[in-house]
Amino acid sequence: MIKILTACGSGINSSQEIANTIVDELASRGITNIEAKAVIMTDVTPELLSNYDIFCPITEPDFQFEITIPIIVSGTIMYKVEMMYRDVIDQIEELIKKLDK
Amino acid sequence: MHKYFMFEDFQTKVELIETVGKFLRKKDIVNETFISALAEREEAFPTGLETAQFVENGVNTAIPHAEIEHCKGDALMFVYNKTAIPWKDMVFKKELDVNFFVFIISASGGSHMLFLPQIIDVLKNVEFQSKLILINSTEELEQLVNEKFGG
Repeated sequence: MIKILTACGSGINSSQEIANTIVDELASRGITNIEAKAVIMTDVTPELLSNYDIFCPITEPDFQFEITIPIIVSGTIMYKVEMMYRDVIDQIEELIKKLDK
Repeated sequence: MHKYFMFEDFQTKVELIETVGKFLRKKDIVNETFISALAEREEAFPTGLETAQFVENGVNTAIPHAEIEHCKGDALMFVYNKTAIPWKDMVFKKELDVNFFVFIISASGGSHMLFLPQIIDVLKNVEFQSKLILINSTEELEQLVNEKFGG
């Protein structure tokens, strides 16, 4: 199982939108062993990240700690235009292949 | 869900946020902490969307909001500002010129998760944006929004 963490600023659940789209798009490419969880950016800690394989925040985070898992900024998913976020899904798919889980 | 409308010509982001915040306070739908919370949140996590890219001569949009503890109810407030206000993009944090604002007020959290995809869909609509740039009053804004978002 590949575990993906998405994150956004609080308020309107953009990270859940991102998580849903990633799961759906990967499923359409035949990748179904995905678990995606959405959190708010201020809840992200090194401990939390250590439980995940890929981090997909809405924007480049400004953390005071080092991110030790692969990160793919995924905010373009918010536009709901496949052409705009295809590159994000391509990068995630590529990473999943490398993880070989 | 309540919808509020405003057609204005604010010159700055501060003027816009404070006036909208005071308006919503008078409606008793946000707490007194709303204005500062929204401004702080916008600084840390900007909400601009580059919706102008979808339509020739289109406008950019922002969806400012604060955490649920600063809100007393659920509502949307649509603001069309004649002067474009510099506002940071939510993904790349680059500066956009924004004319259209959808303030999201949520005390419950859940309802706006359902509404966000609809907002994005409407903003990609060529007819909506073409009419939006011709808006000249609060009444016209209300009519257009209700046409596209449901009355």
